[in-house]
Amino acid sequence: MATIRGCLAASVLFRNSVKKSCVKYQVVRTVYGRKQSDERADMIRELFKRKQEAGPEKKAHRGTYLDWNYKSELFAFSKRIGETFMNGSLERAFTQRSYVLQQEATQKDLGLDDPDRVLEDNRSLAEKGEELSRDFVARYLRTALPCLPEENIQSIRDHLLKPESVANIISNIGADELILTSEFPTEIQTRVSTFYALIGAIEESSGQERGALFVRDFIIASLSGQDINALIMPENKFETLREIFLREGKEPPEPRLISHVGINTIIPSYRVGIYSEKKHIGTGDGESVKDALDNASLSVLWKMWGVPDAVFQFPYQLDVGQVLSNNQTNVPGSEWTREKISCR
Amino acid sequence: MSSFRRAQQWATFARSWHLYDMKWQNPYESAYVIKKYLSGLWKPIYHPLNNCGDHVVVINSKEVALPGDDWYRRAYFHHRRYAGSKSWTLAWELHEADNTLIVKKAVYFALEKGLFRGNQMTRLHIFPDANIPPEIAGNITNQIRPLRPVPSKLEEVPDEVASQCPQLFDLPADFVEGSDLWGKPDPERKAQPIRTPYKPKGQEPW
Repeated sequence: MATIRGCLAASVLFRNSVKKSCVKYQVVRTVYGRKQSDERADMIRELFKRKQEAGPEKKAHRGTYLDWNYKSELFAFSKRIGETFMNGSLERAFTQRSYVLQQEATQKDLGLDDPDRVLEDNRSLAEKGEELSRDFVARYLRTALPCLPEENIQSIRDHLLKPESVANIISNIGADELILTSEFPTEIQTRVSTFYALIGAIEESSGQERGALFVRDFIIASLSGQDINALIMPENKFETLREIFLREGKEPPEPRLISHVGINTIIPSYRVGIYSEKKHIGTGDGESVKDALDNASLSVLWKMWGVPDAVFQFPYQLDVGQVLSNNQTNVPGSEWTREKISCR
Repeated sequence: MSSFRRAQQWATFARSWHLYDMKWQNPYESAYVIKKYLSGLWKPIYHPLNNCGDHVVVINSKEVALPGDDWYRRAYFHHRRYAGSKSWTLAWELHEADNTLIVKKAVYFALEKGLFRGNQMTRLHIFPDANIPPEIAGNITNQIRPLRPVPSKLEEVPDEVASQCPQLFDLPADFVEGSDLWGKPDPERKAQPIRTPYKPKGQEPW
């Protein structure tokens, strides 16, 4: 008893002598629930290992899934884009030539050689749609940018109708998986021809104006967020400007160095102004005098062509009927003068 | 980004070069003027984390003018991190050792503390007189207006001009006591107590 009492007293003394910050905490590990067996852990480890060895899962087309209903997908798509299609033209627009050939071969193998069961592919629709797109985009650009030389209109159109960007549009509207084709994933050219076929189908079902509206809403709208001025770059900037002034019978433009800063450093900056008949018509900056001259010429050219930098806003909502009735071609660059354009 | 937009960005972030004439100027007040240009505070793109400061070339740092008796009263503390290596250098001693240091330290203390201070100090170019190397002189595109106009000394006025000035009073030579000592350190001036919280070792008065 005495020893126990002595031990207690000693422990109280010890506890009082030790500071609060020195108290040791014992970490107790608690396992809740049933204890898991080692076999289960081994199995999970083995499964993980095999998954790593097998590599990433191969991508499969959505159509291979059990719950795929192609007809209802097509119906939902037509509702999504707000168009009505006649005589199965939507299904025809999505049917590629390669799919038709594949189906015919399968039927032959099965011994089904029925002449009435012929699938139609989208080639004729694609031709129609491409023609409409190319024509309408050019007309739209000419209506929106009436002062721009014809060459630049063509270059913007080519930029808009690049296969990569058109293929991107069809992926973005969720039509990539609806394409009936033998290859997976779909190639760019397949997506492009399907997109044009879709436009052709709309034109066939609802008329030219409706097809043009689709082109406006999807192809022209893809210009949004892009720098249009970057697409309007003549090869020899100052020379182009000079030729325009000479054609107009005016004094040739005169470049002058307005200011420069840090010319003996590795980050010099020059500013060139362009003057004509003792009037300042434009300014440009650059790392060298040549760059600054090019940029100054560009600023003058863009102002003359009706696309002033940081001021110009492209109109995306032009009336389709008005665009389709615009038969005027822009003035080509080799004949461009300010008198020849009607605007401004 | 088109080449045009790229050049716009280039011009926006171009570093300008400013000239500041330190002749007869108070360095501690001028430092706050120089700070505005060194840290780019005057630019619309300014942000404390934006490295957009300009270069400032200071000339005539030799002829800097300290207010009052600061040449004798202002001490610059330095510690070499060795035991007993504290030192207090008076402003006139520092200026004799290096005639750009007063301006440099004034600007250094005026700038905001932070990681950019060292970078901003490298863009400060101080010259004791008006001789600037041609590669630096070629960069300068702006002059900062000094805080005060530089007065002309009577000694520097030519005799012909001085003689034409009408003398209204005939004052005795000793009208102002000690006027012959103006502008010069007083040889008989007693050592003044240094206005710092510590004193050098071995000189305690108690």
